[in-house]
Amino acid sequence: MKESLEYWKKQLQGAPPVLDLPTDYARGAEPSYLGGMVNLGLGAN
Amino acid sequence: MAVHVAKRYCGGTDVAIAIIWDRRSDRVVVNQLVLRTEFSGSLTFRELLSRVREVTLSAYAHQDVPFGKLVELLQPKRDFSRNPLFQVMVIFQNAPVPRLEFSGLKLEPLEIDIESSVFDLSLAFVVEHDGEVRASLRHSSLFKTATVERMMQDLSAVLQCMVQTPDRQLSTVEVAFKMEDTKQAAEKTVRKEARFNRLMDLKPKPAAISKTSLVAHGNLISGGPCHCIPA
Repeated sequence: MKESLEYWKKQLQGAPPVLDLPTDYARGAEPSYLGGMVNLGLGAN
Repeated sequence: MAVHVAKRYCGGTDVAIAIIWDRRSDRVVVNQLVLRTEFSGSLTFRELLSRVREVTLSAYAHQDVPFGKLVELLQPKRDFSRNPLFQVMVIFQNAPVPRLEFSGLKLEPLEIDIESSVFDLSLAFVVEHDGEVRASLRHSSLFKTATVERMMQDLSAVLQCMVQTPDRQLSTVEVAFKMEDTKQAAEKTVRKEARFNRLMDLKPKPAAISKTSLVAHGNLISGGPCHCIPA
């Protein structure tokens, strides 16, 4: 566990704080947890 | 290639997404593993894939740290509007759900249309019984359906491009997308201006907002508990 904690510390420290996806609507102070889903078929494996 | 599509939308070269992983060595517990990949446009699809594979394998090797513990350790800047450490989840479900059979009963799985989303985006690849791969993108209410449909089309285009030309440099793929991007950026500016104008029309009279209420709200935001999803 200690070794793993060191790994994650090294791996994620200094990472950009957010993945800033451009959104259609302004982000609120808290997430709404509302949303939807879009499907796509990709053919055979 | 979700990493590449995410990068294309954000323009960065350092992208963190997460995957759901359900094979902890000691017991069956679903954990969220953060995969951080740094890359530039000079890489080819094959090189990017190899880099993501490396990151993923080392994350598997250190999967015993629960996500909540990771948040506690790294203490990312508090931001209630987003999930800490990652905002996009990728799920790959390659173990088909077993068919349930009872004598005299015929059972069929039904999709439940749940109109909710924990993360900004959750992309799931599901391998069906017949080998078909289905991708679904769950999105938060920050995105319009049309935008998410376009993201899925982009993802499909990138996947096709990757299979057909695995040694193509990522930057050349971005060039192909650029014109569309510029057009969309222009449209977005127009939409933003329209939204701003609407807000100006709706803004409350100055007396309606007191200094005290603003301060109280500020304290609420900075002093609350860290928002995270327990692992």
